[in-house]
Parts: sequence; C-alpha cells; structure tokens
Amino acid sequence: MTTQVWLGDLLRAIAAGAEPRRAAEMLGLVPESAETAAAEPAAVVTGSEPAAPTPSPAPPEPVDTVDTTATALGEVPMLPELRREPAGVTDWAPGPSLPLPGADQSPEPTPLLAPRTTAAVLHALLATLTDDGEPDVEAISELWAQGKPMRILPRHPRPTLRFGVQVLVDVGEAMELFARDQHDLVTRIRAVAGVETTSVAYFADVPTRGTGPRGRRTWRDYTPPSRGTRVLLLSDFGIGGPVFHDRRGTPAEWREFITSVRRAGCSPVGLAPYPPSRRPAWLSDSMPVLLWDRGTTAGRASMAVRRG
Amino acid sequence: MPDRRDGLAYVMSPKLELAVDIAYATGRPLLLRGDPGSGKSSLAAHIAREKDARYYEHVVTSRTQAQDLLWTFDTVRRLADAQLGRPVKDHDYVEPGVLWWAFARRSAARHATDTESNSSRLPTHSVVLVDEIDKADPDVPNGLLTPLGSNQFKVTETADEVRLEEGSHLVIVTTNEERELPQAFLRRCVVVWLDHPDADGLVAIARKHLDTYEGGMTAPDEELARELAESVVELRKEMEREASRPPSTAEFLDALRACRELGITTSSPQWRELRDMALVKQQSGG
Repeated sequence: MTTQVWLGDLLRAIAAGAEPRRAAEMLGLVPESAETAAAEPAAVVTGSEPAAPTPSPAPPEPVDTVDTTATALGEVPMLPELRREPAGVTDWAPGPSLPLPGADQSPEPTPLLAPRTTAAVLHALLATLTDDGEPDVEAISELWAQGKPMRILPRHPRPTLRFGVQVLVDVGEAMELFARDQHDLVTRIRAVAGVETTSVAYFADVPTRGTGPRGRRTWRDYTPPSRGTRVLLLSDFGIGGPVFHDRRGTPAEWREFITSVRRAGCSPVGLAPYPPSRRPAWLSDSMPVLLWDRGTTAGRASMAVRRG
Repeated sequence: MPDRRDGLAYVMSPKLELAVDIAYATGRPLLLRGDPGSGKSSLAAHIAREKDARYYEHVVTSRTQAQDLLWTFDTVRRLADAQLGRPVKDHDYVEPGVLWWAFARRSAARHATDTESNSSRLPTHSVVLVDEIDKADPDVPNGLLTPLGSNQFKVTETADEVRLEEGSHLVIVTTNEERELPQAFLRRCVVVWLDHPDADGLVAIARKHLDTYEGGMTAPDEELARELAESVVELRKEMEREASRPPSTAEFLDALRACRELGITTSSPQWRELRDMALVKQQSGG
C-alpha cells in the first residue's frame, strides 16, 4: 500500500528538523532546484514528475507499515506514519436516528375543503328540501281566508339526506390531478350522507358516455337514480386538461345529462376545482356548481343549492 | 320470537358493565357502537329489568327529528278541531316523547293520551333506548345535545318547561356506523364498542338463552353450541379477510335454534346450506 504525499508529510518533515525547501523538494511538492539536482541526483524518487497534478485530493489511506519513502530518502526518517485513524472518526456520540419514512408514513395531502367544515358543507350541498317541516301557518291562513279546501297541509321545507346521494366521479384525463381528493371526498360523503344511501359511479369527461361502479369494464349508459336523489358531480366540466383535449365533454353532452337528471326528478349539483371565472356561461346557467376549495362554506353551499 | 326486548337473557361483559357504571356515574348517555346483531339494542331492556326501571324506546328512522324524542304536536288534529269549532287547548295536542317520560314521568302522564306501560316499575328510575341514531339526518344528534346535557327542554307550542323530576335515568343510544356522528354529540356520551364474543362467550350466550327461553341447555345442546361457536369464530376470520360482513351473535343464535330444531350438526350434509343461509348470507348468488 502506497500513500500519496500531501502537505502533512511536509509538516512532519519540518517538525522533525528537516530544511523546508529540501523536504518539499524531496516530497515532490515543489520542483527540484538545480543545485539540489546536481548535488544529489539519485535522491529524486517521488519528484520525478513534480508538475503532474494529483488526480483527486482524496484523504490518505491508512497505512500499517513503515513508509518505504524513508528508506529511499535515507537521512529523512520522520516521514513514516506510525499511526493513522480511520477517516471520519470523531469523539461524537452517536445519537438516535429518525425512522426512515415508510410507504404509509408519507404526509397526508391537504384536503381541498376545510377539514373542520367539510361535514357542514357536504350536508348543505347534499341535502334536498322536503315539505315536512313545521306547518306553514301563513299558507294555511291564506287558504282559510280564501275559503279554499286544504287538501295538503302546507309545511315549511326542511333539508334532509334521507333521499340519498349519487356521486358521479370524473376520472377523465383532466381530473387525474384530483384523484386523491375525489377518493377522500367520497369517503367523507359516505360518512355524512350514510353508507347505505350513497351510491358512487365513475365516468370520464361527461357521464352520458357511460358510468359504472368500478373500472371502465363496468361502465354502461347512465341511468338517473330514484326520484329526489341528490346527484353530485366531482368534475372539471371540461374546464381543465390539455388545450387540445379531444375527448373533452361538449356543452351539448352536458346539457343532455343535466336534462336527464332533472327529468328523473333529481337535482344535480357540482363541485369543480376551478374558480367561477373559468366556468363557461352555459354551465352556470344549467346547474349549481360550487368551487371545490377552502373558501367554500356551508352558507355558500346552501345558497348555491337553493338557487338551483 | 327471535328478537326479544324483554331483557331476560343478556350476558354482559366486564367492559360493558364498566361502561354502564360510568354512564350512571357521569349522568351521560351511553353510546353503543358495534356491528349489527351484537346486542346493542337488547342491553337497555336488560338493564331496565335488572334495576326494575321504567323502559322506553324509540327506533330512529330517516324521517325522525330530534323533537320526536321530546314531544310531538298533533297539528292536523288541532286544525281539524278548530275547523269544526271545537274548543282548542294546545296542551291537548302534545304527546310526550321518550325523553319526556324519562325526565318527568308525572308531567308526561298528564299530557299522554295513552296509559303508561311501565306503571309496575320504579317511578324514580328509567332507561331510555334511542335505537339506530345513525339512520337519522345529522341534525338529530345535534338537536339532542341540550336536552341530554341539561335534562330539560321547553315545549314550544305550550311554553311548558320539562325538567328532571326525581330519581335517575340512563339514556342508551345505539349506532350501526351508517354515518358519522357529530363530534359535539360524541363528546357528550360515554362511548363503548361491543366486540364480537369469542367461542366461549358465544357458548355462554347460548346457554343463557336456552336456560331462559328453552328450559335449559342439555349436554348435546352444549356440544352443538360449541361446534357452532367455533365455526362462527372461524367464519368471522374468513369473512373479515374477504372484507365481508361477519356473522353476528344474533345470527349465531338463529343458526343454533335452526340446528336444534332440524337436528343438524356441523358434520351434517345440510350444514353448508344452513351456514350459507343463516350465517354467510351472501349478497349475490353463486
């Protein structure tokens, strides 16, 4: 094992009493002077190519044997190393290591809706109004005053989730970015609206091209749910995705879908991860669509749904 | 009768006994969670019988509103009476709900149109079962926060204040986890999860039921119950691996009754069919 010469060797040599210039020349750290070369031509061992740079300044490797350079240099016995410690050894005590993050320890993504109000927003968004609230005294008085028969007791509308929810999840190319958000939101919807009364179907780009409960093999023509069910769409409604997205749902397809839902006695509502400013006018005119973002509150959801 | 609410046969685990004691000590409702058929709804009747307490139950549906548990007001009858020119007093159209009966029996009895069914039990102690609260809209648990927390409420139509009259009561609420309950409601309850009993526990439950309703458990009955219990425990593991609904304790008792009546054991040729019909109950064919 040979050791590359470095400045430490020169320092050791000087500390041992060697003349610095001489030692440097002998170690090949400086070009040999003419007079030295003339006086001791045979002493040049390591400095035969003094100008050649060291290819890498790696630290010296440990040596266990006496450096043969000393023998070659004859009267310079201070160069051999007696003891070398492995590189990197310190007196620092090893501390406890943090556990490496595993596959299940990755940080949870921040949900699009504010976690504290998600349940309230979903309740406001998914509840449908039914006329079984408190008796509507004003309407009753009106009927009495006009002397009309009261065939149905007028009642105030009351929001309820008992008619169930159909969630239509857009898994088209433009919504790939939001796949995790869609999955998490469906879980929250089931928790709020009930497992038994929540049905989930998937589609790409627009539901009229086919929906199904699982992968594309299960997709069939879309059929609206039973009367009174809230239909929630988690979609970009053709807003996002590549500019030249050739499978983007057309306004005509969306209108056809919305009409079929309304004709079945159901009420559609959408959550879109894009601001209202990017929504096309036909969409805002056709159905309530809410921004799927932190700023959405239960009050806004309730107002949007009531406006229809 | 497969589902009895007489409270005669119930095997309480130490954990459940502790939960009941804590609910009594704190005055909080006891929320029972657990899979369907795990004995949540039967507990209230059992405790009421054990303590000779009055027992009231309200099975919640998707149409239930919080007020239904406090009182109902017969608007239609009042309207009809008014139209017919009869004298109308609002108090006559108020019908007390289960919590009114539990809080103030005398006051409830004054308003009730029906006679009380619990008259033979202690007037100072009551147990109320609010069954399957998760079936109702999320507003229902929120609407019960104040009445359950303060033991009082106000009847809006008559402005009557209903307050706790005397004695103690225990409100037991059950949920099948159909939907999440509001955190505010959970914070006000003592919550306990009813675990599936192991094979020994199932045999003990079978013994209690046979001793109570069938005149006792014979040695062949016990052997059959043991076989069935071990099959049910194995089946639960298998179905949980497949993410299917595991058989419940109630279904175990049904299978036991069927096996006793029909002379079927786990080695009988019909066992597999009985198991599929009474325990597995697959949703789809095949």
